[in-house]
Amino acid sequence: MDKTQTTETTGNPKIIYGLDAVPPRRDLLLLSFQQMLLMFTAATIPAILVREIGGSLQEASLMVALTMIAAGVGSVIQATRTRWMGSGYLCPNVCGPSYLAVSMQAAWSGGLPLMRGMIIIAGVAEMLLARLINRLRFLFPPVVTGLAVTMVGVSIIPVAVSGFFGSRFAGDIFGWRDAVVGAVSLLLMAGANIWGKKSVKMYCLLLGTAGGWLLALILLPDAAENLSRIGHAPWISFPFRDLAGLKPAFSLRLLPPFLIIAVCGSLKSFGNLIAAQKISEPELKELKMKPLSKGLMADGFTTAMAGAMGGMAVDTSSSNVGLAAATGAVSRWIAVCAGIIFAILGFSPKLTMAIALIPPPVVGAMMIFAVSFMISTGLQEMLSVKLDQRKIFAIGISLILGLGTGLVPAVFQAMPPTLQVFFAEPLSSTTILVIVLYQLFHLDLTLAERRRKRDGVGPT
Amino acid sequence: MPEAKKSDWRRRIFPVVLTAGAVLILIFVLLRIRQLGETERSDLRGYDYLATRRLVRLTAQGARLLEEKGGEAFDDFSADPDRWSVEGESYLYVYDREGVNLFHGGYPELRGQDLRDLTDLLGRNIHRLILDQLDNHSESNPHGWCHYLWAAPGSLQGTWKSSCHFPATLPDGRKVYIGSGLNTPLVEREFFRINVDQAAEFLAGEGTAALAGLKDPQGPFTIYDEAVFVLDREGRAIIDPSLDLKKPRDLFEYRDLSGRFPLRELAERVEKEKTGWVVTLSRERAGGHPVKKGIYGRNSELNSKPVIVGALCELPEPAWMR
Repeated sequence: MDKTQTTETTGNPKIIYGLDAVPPRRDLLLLSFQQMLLMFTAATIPAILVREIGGSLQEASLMVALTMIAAGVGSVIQATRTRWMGSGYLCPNVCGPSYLAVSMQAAWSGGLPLMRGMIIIAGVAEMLLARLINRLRFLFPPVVTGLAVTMVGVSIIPVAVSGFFGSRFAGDIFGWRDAVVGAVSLLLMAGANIWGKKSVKMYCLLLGTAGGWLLALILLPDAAENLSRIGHAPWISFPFRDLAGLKPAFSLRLLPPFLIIAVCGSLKSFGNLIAAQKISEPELKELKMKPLSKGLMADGFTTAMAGAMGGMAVDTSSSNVGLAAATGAVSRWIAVCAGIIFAILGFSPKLTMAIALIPPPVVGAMMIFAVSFMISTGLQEMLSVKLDQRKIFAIGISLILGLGTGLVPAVFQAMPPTLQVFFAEPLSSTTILVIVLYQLFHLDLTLAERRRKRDGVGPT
Repeated sequence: MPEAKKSDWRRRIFPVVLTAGAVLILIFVLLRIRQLGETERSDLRGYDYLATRRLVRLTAQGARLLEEKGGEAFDDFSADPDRWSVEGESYLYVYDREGVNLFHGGYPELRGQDLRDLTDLLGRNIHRLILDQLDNHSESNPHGWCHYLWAAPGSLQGTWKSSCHFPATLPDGRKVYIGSGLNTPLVEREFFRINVDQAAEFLAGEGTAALAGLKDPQGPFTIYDEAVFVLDREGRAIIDPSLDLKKPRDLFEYRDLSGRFPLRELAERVEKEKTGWVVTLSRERAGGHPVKKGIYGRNSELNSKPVIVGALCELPEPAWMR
């Protein structure tokens, strides 16, 4: 392990701490804390699910704690390169919004046991897919993976933007004070990243969060009022109280939507892992499939583990990969440390609440900051090859119809239920479409290539 | 100063500056929390919408200003109407306990008028409704919410409006109340929680005589066109959520569009925790789109027999979910 992988040793001006570098203790803790803050932005998703199905506050808190522990452990597994799983990249786990809709469907129809059981199945499906990824590599050329990575970023836009403007619910007022807080936070983060030198650049997210939070305390009464609630929360709480309550249930009827989301989740993680590989090992000319395959295996394992523990599904976080790109701190030990801290926080309601009370506009700014990198990485990947008509139509049609599920949802809601599963939301529909259309539009070339190989003629 | 000494000096001073900064920030935070005052620190978590929380805070601040400055506070309200409005979507009003308007931010011509007999479109006396909430239900309804159907400009069928109210005693000893409501109503779950809690209390106190009042579509327990329902512990409707049937329905057999039995679930929660919320997916009319609604319920008694009192309500739609 090379502890001294820095800008000087790697020769890459964008990398401050390389993949295998162990940053000094202070930097390691602060960088891990920064990554962990961003992981926290997704921590409210389990609470949203429980609230939507009419669960109590205690159930919501429990779900959040269990999901955090699973995500923390998953981040450590992902970052450490074992024989069977783990990419070894900085690619932490969070509770991903891609599973929210199907999890809610399962929880509605069969309660939390059904949701848990189906998440376990989805995780196992992801692990099986990971074993096949090398053989299925032809399905994922740069155009497809680039678009998938871009759509991963796009899928976060609704949450990021509504938080940025402090609007949780449709019909609420426009909070101009919230917008000011969000804008100042975002400008601080971006400014520190663009013009800051080493430490300021590395801790840009922390600086923006702290500055935005301070401003929120002045401008937003909610922010100060929420802080006073921290005192009521206990320091330590053990979430694993009733093991009998963790018994999962299964339903054949829900198998198709969960399998589709498992495939989409795998593609999303594949995109994140590719982005993480490109950021951490920019010298690579082509994709190194083994770490990607092991990364997907870890992702599937963590999803199944989260379900078994009683939490929501987790998958890799695009925002955190984006943050690593922004700061140039790509050491996997940051992910290990962040994962450990995140898992420990699952046992402390007081500390969890303290972080959960980051004002929504500041959280929105954090997400916009990180997702900017994600979307740009995806676009760069897509445009790294020459686009001919086949690729243009594969990208264009997928993007238009995929985004259409978000822009004109009423049209897709009128579809028969069997088709609705494929057009549930932009990320999954765009990804499925681009995979299918790319193969369709290149079918003649693929068949011609196979004929040439069969006839023993060299490639054209 | 040589470079080595300069950086050594910086290394020593930096932790001190950082610690001092952290202490100052902590002091600022504690002062800010204290500055908000008791009423503002009262629990606003029950409200989903930012606009509602701001409305309650503003009205509470108005009440405090009235208690400090008395009638001079009206000049403050008039001088800066934007300050006392939620993004231009609300206005303050002040009445004495006899129903005489002392200040009206929306309709200044009402100032000085005796409006004690003012009724809404359902014939409900608004002034009495408000006084009842302030005097008799401050525990279940700490922000004095009242709901009335009024003829909003451009509205044929009438629009429901909700206003919060706070009592205030002016420096000259006069007791008044101050209120405010949003022009475009945002329906909070908390409204139905308050309504059901009061209905449960009313039922437990009055017994069978309360049923007519609970069912009355023009009565105080009907808000936003939703009346309360009452079930016995076997699921039989004493007051049905929708239809006034001769033969009561077994509502534990009601299965919603997602396949769940929401009223059974509600009964289980209420059994354990005395109150509870469930979410249900239903269809408003044949062929219509499924709609998610919340059901709040709580324990009560009817002639010493345990019953469940509840109400359906709309749920706020997250801005980022379709």
